[in-house]
Amino acid sequence: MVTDSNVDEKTAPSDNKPVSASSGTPSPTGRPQRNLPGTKDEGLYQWPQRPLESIESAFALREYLQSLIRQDPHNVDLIIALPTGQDEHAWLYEHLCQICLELNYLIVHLEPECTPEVCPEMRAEEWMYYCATHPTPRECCAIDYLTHTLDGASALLNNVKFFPSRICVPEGSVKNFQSIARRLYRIFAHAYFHHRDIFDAFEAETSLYDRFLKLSRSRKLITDKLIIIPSLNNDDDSVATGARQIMSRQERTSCAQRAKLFNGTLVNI
Amino acid sequence: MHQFQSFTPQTPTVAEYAFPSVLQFLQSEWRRFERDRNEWDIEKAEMKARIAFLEGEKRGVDNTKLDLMKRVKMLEFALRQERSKYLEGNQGAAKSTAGSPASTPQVNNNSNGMSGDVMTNGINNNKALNRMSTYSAFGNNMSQVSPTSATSLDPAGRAKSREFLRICLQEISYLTSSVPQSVSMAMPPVHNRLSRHDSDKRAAGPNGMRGAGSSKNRHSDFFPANVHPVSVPPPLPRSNSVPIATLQTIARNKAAGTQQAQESNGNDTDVTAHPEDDDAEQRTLNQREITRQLSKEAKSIAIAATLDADSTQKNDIPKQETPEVAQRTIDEEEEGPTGLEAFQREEAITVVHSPVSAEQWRADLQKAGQQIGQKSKGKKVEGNPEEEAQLSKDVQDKFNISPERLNKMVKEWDRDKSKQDVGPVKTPVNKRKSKDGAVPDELASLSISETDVIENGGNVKEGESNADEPVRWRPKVTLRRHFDTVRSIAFHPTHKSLLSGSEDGTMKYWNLEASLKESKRTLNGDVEPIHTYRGHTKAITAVAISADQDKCFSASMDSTVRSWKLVPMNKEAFSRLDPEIPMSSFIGHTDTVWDIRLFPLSISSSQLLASISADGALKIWDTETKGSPLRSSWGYNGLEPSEWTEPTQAYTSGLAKLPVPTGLDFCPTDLKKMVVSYSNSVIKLFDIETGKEILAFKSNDTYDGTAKTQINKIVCHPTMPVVVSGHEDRFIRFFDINSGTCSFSMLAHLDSVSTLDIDPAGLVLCSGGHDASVRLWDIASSTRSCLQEFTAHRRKSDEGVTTVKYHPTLPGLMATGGADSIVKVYMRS
Repeated sequence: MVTDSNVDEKTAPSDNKPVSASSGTPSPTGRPQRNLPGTKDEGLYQWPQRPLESIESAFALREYLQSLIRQDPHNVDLIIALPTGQDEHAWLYEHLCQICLELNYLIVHLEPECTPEVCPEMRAEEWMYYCATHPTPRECCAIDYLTHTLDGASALLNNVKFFPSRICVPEGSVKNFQSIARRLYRIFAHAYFHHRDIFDAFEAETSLYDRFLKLSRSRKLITDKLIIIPSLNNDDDSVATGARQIMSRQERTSCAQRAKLFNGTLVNI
Repeated sequence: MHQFQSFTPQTPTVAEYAFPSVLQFLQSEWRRFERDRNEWDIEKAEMKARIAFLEGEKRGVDNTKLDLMKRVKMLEFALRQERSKYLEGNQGAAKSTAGSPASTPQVNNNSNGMSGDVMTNGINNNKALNRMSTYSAFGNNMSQVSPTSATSLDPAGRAKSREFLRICLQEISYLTSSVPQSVSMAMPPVHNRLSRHDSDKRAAGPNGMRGAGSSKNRHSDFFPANVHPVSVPPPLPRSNSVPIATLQTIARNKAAGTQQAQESNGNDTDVTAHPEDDDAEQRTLNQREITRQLSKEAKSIAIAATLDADSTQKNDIPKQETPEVAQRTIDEEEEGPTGLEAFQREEAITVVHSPVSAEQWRADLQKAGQQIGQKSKGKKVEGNPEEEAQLSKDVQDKFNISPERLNKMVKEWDRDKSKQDVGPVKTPVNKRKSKDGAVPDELASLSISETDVIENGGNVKEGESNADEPVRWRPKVTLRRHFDTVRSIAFHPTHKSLLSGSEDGTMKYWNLEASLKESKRTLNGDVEPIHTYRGHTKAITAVAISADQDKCFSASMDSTVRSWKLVPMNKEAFSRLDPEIPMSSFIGHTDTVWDIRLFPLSISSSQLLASISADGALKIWDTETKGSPLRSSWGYNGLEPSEWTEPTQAYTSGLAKLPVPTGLDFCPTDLKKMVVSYSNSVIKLFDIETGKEILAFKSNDTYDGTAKTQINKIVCHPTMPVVVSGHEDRFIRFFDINSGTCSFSMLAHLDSVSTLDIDPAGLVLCSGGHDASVRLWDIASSTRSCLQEFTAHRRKSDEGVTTVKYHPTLPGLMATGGADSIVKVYMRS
């Protein structure tokens, strides 16, 4: 088995899938990488991180990504950095899946507070969004919008027509990343502007928004114009002050038009 | 030896009695005697064997003779019966007043069922019966008249009755065959039995009997797996007198298109009604009806005849009159399933204290099954799995065979042996070693390839021995919406819907109604879950559905168990959130909850739920109560009285140091008990009410002190006191609940066994492993052969298949979940 040190130098020219016939032999690390029933909390996922090249599975990228996040969720730059020799879009795909997965937990935290009574409309600061998961875009209340958007993203990301393989993403499906990211962003935005304490607590635990933002920016998934959450620092005070600098760059009318426009394009996908 | 014999006479002349030569002589003589004695012993053994053989032969001949006698008597009886019918019919047609007073009651009582001319036709068509007609002058009489009376029958009716007689004869011969009497009572009706023989015997059992079952009578359709297939009772209509009802259905089938109002009445009402309307004319007019009744009565006569087969068969008429009644009482006394089912229907609550008669019945059947099993096993050594395991290990090491391959070999050999019943032990194994070259190929085909292997999954199965096995599971629907490993799935007890819980922290509820109906496989089609349950803050480990409560439950790594409202099947995918859906959470565990299990029955207003956690505790919750849901909680050593009230801090912290539960199940065969497996591979049997440990299984013989040999999953057999455990060391083991001993052990997968389920009929065990394969095992047979093997999921971080589940009531529906975040639903072809 190769050690971590010399792995980075190893060039793996486009061997996205190092999977050969993997028989039932346990991993070379000795201990099988699985959580056996009865494992205690402190023992969950406690296996040494494997270099990506040595992961012999169809889910190598996902395993690698998850192990990075488990190791340190706040080391965002390392997490979003493309591993050597990997397909950019496949990596992006795994990231989006992972973000959707973790956004579930944000919604769990939002659910008790973000009720239809408290948030009858899906708003983020001055924006209002229509829910595009319906045949005709609809004004769902915020929590419905959040769950619908997440369910819709999960439907799209798990659609074998658009994403038939985890190795590479068809050219035509790449554009879906942008629409998914744009909508996921609204979940963060709503949480930030309307349920700030939950957002902060969640962010302190997972750095999910930070990861999402950096990923989206570096991969040009979201245009800067759409970013309405003021930049966050790890320092809580500056975050609080930043929150007061509410940016109102868009008129409400144009905002509604834009929302409809998105929906139109999304429905056609 | 000849040397010495020739040497002996010379000794006097030589007169040299040298000590060595004498010694030599004595030794040689002694050796000769020894040899002779050996020869005699061998001869004696041979003779004994011969005697045994001849005795066996004689017994066989006796049995055949007895059979034939029974048949002769039966036919005699049928003939007599039919003669009286004819006589009576003749009287009716001629309106003659000359009927002898003695014969009148007989005529009246039997005429309703038998029509003489119909019977005659049948007999004339049957050579076997023709022989009987020489018995008396009545035969001549009959044959003279029969042509005329036969003309009164329309050809269609004649064909029908002929057909019926043929079936009746089959029935008789079947009944008189060597099936034990008590078992033949529960005989399925003819058409059922035939179809059962045609189709696969294993599959037909569950098919036949699970028709109208609900989750509640899961225990009523129990059939010990070892019993010969013919003993499986027919699908039981919901009526107290089940066999009669089935008879009626037969009669109805035979007299197609002649449904009449009286038909729906019970047979006994017919019996009481007919003495009143003994107007023969009306009867000849209603010939169709008579035909139908004939079929009924002849049928019941056939059954009654078998009952009385050992008696002298001098059946007096009154006894014949009430075969149905007699039959019914016997049914009620002896037929376990009927009794139990009725019992459950009437007072489902008390079922907990399993009725004694049913237990006896079960015990009897088991005994019978074991006998059959032993017969087929022949000389196979039973009960030393260690030896077998050792042997297999040796062979494995020696020839470098994969465990899987070896397992196959051993099983094939077992099958061969059971067929031949003799044969040298070593040769088959040695022969097969020459095939080693094929091993890598097979392995390759078993392993996971990058593409979805489903397409050829069916081909991978072990086909050679099951060529005549038409039943095969095929993937039908693929559910892709989870983002991480699917940990657990649960079917709705009656609907075609499914709940899946995943490590992504969500639980999704799927309506399969539409997608299963589609003829085309919707493997890649998009099935949208009708609801996504969000609420846990960590991965979900187990899910369960309680249909009676309209609730579902989930356990999670966040240490909680939650209950949810089950959304209606017609809910739209993207509808408004129902705030009522999250119902309550059961908080009490302090570590990952690894599994939950619903008590098999819901008792009035309480539904128990058991959960096991890595904190070492097993907790039982009452999911319906308004107050504190926790009913009891105990650890590795069971519940101590002092712990009942207030578990101290020291106790809970001490608990965590003890072995941790890894699997649990309630015992369907004894609902007061449950089994729990622990991380040290010990399985313990607990009393649910008291929390007392009843028995610790001897299941840790294979435990080596590490998690590599721990038990991952245990399931109880639905009808037998057997626990099946899936081990991390790739073995599946069977334990007897009463004794706690291991009754069978088999190397089942290439990697650890992660999940198990037994089909509701108790005939097939389904196992899933981290080698990504799903295997179906025929646990009704003694060899426990593999029926089907297919690659179901792709591996992620050394996990493959994580869960398999049969639909609890609908036959032919199964689902698996795997580390590839996918749920697959299979249908039996």
